[in-house]
Parts: sequence; structure tokens; C-alpha cells
Amino acid sequence: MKAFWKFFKFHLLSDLRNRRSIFWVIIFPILLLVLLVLAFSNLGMQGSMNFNVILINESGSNFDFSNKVVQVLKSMSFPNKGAVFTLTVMDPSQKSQAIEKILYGQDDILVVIPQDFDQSIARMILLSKMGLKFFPVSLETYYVPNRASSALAQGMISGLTSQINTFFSKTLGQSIKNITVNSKILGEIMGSPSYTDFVTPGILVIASFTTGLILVAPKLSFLRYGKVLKKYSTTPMSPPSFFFGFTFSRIIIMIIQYLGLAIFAVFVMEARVDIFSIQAFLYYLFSCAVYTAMGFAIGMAVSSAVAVSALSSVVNLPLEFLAGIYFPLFNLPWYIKIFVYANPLWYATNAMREFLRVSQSPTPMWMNFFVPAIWFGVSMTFALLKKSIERA
Amino acid sequence: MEKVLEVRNLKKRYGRFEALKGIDIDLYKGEIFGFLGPNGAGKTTTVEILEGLRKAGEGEITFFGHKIHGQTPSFVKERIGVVLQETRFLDHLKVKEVIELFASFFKNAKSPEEIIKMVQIEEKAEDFTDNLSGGQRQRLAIATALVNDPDIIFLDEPTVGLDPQSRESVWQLVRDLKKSGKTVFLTTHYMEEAQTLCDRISIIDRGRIVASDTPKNLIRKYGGKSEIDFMCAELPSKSIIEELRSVDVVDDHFRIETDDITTTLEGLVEWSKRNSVKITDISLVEPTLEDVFLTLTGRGLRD
Repeated sequence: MKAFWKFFKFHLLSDLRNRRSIFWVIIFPILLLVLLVLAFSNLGMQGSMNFNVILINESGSNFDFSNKVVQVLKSMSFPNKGAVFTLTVMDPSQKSQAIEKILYGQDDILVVIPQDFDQSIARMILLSKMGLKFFPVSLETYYVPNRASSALAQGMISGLTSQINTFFSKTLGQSIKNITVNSKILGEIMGSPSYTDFVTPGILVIASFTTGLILVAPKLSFLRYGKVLKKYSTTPMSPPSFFFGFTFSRIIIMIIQYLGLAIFAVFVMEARVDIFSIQAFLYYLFSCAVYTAMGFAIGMAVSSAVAVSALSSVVNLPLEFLAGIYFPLFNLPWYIKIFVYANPLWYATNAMREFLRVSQSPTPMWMNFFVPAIWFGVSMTFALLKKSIERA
Repeated sequence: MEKVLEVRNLKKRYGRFEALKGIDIDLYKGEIFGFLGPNGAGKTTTVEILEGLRKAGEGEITFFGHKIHGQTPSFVKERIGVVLQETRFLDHLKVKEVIELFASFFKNAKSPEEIIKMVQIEEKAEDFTDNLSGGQRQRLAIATALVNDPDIIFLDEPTVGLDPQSRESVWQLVRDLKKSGKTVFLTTHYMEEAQTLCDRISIIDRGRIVASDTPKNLIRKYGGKSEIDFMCAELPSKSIIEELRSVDVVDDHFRIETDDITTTLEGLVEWSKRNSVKITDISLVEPTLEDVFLTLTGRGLRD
């Protein structure tokens, strides 16, 4: 026990005193979050982009207000000049099919003109002429905030309501400024997340994963090739005291990361994530164990610190980009999907988004534990086998 | 003398390669024992088995009267200290903290302050290990091997890469260990180091011990003859030269090989007086452990 505490204390001290480690482990994830949010939170708001919009008109009354809305939307869609979206009009009977298209990323947003739209507009005009109080009329939109293109399309449709209002003002000679958008979120838990909300769980995953690579693999490689482990082995020190002391010191650093990053994201970047979620924290600890094991495997697999860094980069970049951390993943070819389905970071990001109440996991929760657990098992088995072979 | 380590018929295989073919070693309390051998001779395998880093194949190892089976057990590790070649330490830790860490591995450890004083690095106790010189790092490495007050200390190439001054200070530390009754098992590539420090030496080659004895006896047995080189003011006549038995003429000087330098020198002085030959320059070349090596292994110490 004495050796465990000393290993824990001195390995922790060794890293906390190292400015380079502090930068990569604590400061870099925060910078990454800030940079990503600054760079991508307004993506598509300027310049030309094309969204796929489905329109369903459920209104079937004698009034023509809903057709006016259809007219406005058509006038703004391709192939008209200055258009930013492609409009597909579908029949009300195809609504569930349209929702599926949005969910699975074939189209970006579904706009529904509700059944009572025309009557509501007519009632509103009447009430407003009589100087009485009236309620706004809403268009319904269905979108997936988790997906950048869908979230941007939602922003665009919300923006279009002012043009619809202007159109009504001109054609009816009546100023109606209360057509609003009633958003229906698909696959979300706590409402429409911002890019900050979207990216924060992923940054937490990256932070702990990077620590697994930076503070476990090269450190282990150093301990092996600097003969420090060999030196420990000549003493009566029990290997578990080293293993747990070293591992817990890494996990404490990852917990510091979690707290620092979550507090920064919530209080500075105003991310709407449930940082007090016990489930999220426990899953994070589980992830830390998985990434530490992966770090052990890499540290045991290669023979020098330089090779460890190179291998870490090779492992790090594809896993991060195929985890849907920075951007949602959709419409991927099957051969890329294989890597996504095998990627522990993807499952971790999905689980963290659900536990932090950002969005529902697109993968079953048991898979979010099962696949990373396989990575843990394979990594630890490899590391222990390698160690026992070296000792023979 | 009390035997602290006895190795009998130690064998070790790596697949089809037989690294050790039956090694015998005896280590006595209070001696400095040198273990020498060219690269690939089986030296590291032997030492790592004794240090508990590798499993023995066949054979018998007895530490402090206890027979060891398989891996070196904890109670033996409590009584040995190991200094590996060029050990590194965790970055950003202080000297005192490194010793504190190692002390935590043992049931009965000396205090870090006591150890620091013993290896004379008191002024560096609060310094980070990254800021130590080569000699100071080696002293710290030795300190980590002394925290448990061991009976046997294994030193693997303790002076590699050190400047002469640091090397001398490490040698003094090793002598001090011997004075305090410790047994030192030293492996080295430096002939001078082995010759200066060791009471006894074993030489291993191709997995077998090829010789064991004191350095002096090894040199006497296997080092070959000493050489006396001399020059004369004028070249003596052939008949005068022939009075000296087994003399070789090498360029402008003469060389005599001998087993008994003193007698040969006396004879040479007598010969010069008798024949009025003026000797202008004389030098002696005595065999060293390097020669012992060449004789026994066919290779140099650092090959």
C-alpha cells in the first residue's frame, strides 16, 4: 500500500510539474473547444450552401394563406436566383417517411404547414382588425440539431419567417408579424443544442483519450526503455502497486481535465450540458480506463518514445475524426462505416452526449459499453502478454 | 569466509539458443567480485537472473543459504540492491523524492536523508533529477540501491559515460561499500576498473565461465609474458647480442619476453656491464586483463 501511494503521488507530481503535459492535457482541450466553437458555430450562415428542405402542406381549407407560404418557399428555392435550398414538396400522407429522411440525413429539414394554419391566420387577421388579442401562428419544422446541416437549415427556416411576414404584409395589406416556427426536434433530449453543446461531450472524450495516449503510452515507453521498470522489478515492489498507482495518477489527471473542461464549457462557453450527471461522470471514468489500457498497449508495443508519438498520432487522428466529435457523421460509404462501428471514441461520444443530456445516442447504450470494453480487454491482454514474454 | 551467493550449473535457453551452458559462481561476504565477458557471452542473462529480472532455466541458485526456485523471491530482493547501467529517473522529481519512492518498496528502509548523506549528494537533495550531472545521477542510482541497506549490491557498468573525476568518485564509493562489509557484484567493460576494484574476477564466454581467480593470478596464468624493450647507444656485435637468450630486434630496439621481470632485468643490467653496452632507453610492458581476455576469448573486452 505504501508503494502504491508513493507511485500515485510521484507519478502525479511528475506530470503536474511538467508544463508540456499541463498544456496538452489541460489547456489544449480548452483551446480546442474555443477554436472549434469560434470556427464552426456560424458555419453556413454566410456564403453559399444548399440545404434539402421537404415541405408538407397539411392545410386543406378554402383560405389560401398556406399556398402563399408554399409560394414564398418555392420562390426562394432552387433554381431561383439567390436560392439557398432545394425544396421537395411531399404529400401529408408521406409525413412519417419525410421524418425518417430527416432522421437519417437524406434531407435536412421538414417544414409542415399544419392543418389549422389557414383558419388560424384568418382568425388572427380578424382579431387584429378588431384590436383584440391573438396568438401567433406556427409553422412546424422537424430537424436534427445533432447534425450541423440540419441545425443550420433550421436557423435558415426561422430566418425566413420574417420574409413570409413581409410577404403577407404586402399582399394582404395587413401587417402580421406573428408567424413563428414551432420546432420539433428529432433525436434530441434537451432541445436544440448549439455547436458548443454538440462539441463539448466530444471534447471531453478527446481530452481523456489524448491523456491516455500522451501520459500513458510515452511515459510507459520511457519507463521501459529508461530501464526504470527494470529497476523497480529488482526490488520487492509488487507489480500491482505500480500498475494501480500509475493508472490512478493518470485517472486523477483525467478527472481534473473533466472538471476544468466542463466548468469552462458551461460557465464560459455557455454550453448546455448536464455537468452534474453522475452517469456521465461514471461513463467518463469507464472511458478513462479504456484509454489508459490503450495507452498501455501502445507503450508496450513500440520501442521508443519517438515511435510511441508517431503511433499515437496515427491512432489519434482517424479515431477522432471518425467519432463524429467535430461534425456529425452521415452518408458514409460502407468501408468507412466499418471503422466508425469499431471506433471506441464514437461510442463514447454517443454515450456522453446522451448522459450529458445533449442528444440521444444513435447507438444502443449497451453497445456504448460493450465495444469500448472489448478495446479495454484486448489492449490489456496484449500489454500483459508482451510484458510476460519480455520477462521470460 | 561466509558465502552469500552460490550458483551451480546455471543454464538458460532462448528458443534454440543456449545462452548459459552451466555457470558456477561463488560470492563471499565483503568482497568485490568482477564479472567480465564480451558482448553476447551470457553476462547480462546471468546478472538479470540473479537480480530477479529473468527466470532461471536449469541449475541451482542459493542466496544467503536459501535455495531459489524460479524467480528471485521477495525476501532475497529485500537483501540485494541493484544499479543498472544508465538508469533514468522520473522527470520533474527531486532527488529526495526519488529515494523516498524506492524506500517505499522495502520493509526496512533507511531514511532518505541517511542515504543521501551516504552517497554524498546532500547539496543536491532538493534538486530535480533532470539537473544532475552524470556523476551525480550515478550516485543517485547507487543511493536507490542502498535504501534497503543490502548485503549484496549488483553494479552493472557503474561508470559508463562518466568523466575521470566522476569515475574516481564512484570507485571510492564502491570501496567504501566494501569497507562497510557489503558484497559487490560488479560487471564492467573497463579493464582498469576491474583490475583496480575487484578482489576476484570470473570471465564468461559463450555461456561458460572460462576462468575465475584474483586479477593478479588471472594475469599471471593467462596474460602471457611481460616484455622489456630497450635501446642501445651503439649496435652491439652479433655475438654479444646472442648472449641474451630469446631477444628480438624490432626496428632500432630490442625486445625480450619474460615470465620473470626481476630476474630478467638483473640479467640485462649484468649483460650491459659485462659487455660495456650503453642502454639508452628501457621500458616494461606488463600483461593486463585485456591480454587475459584475448587469450581466453579471442576477443577484446569491448568487442
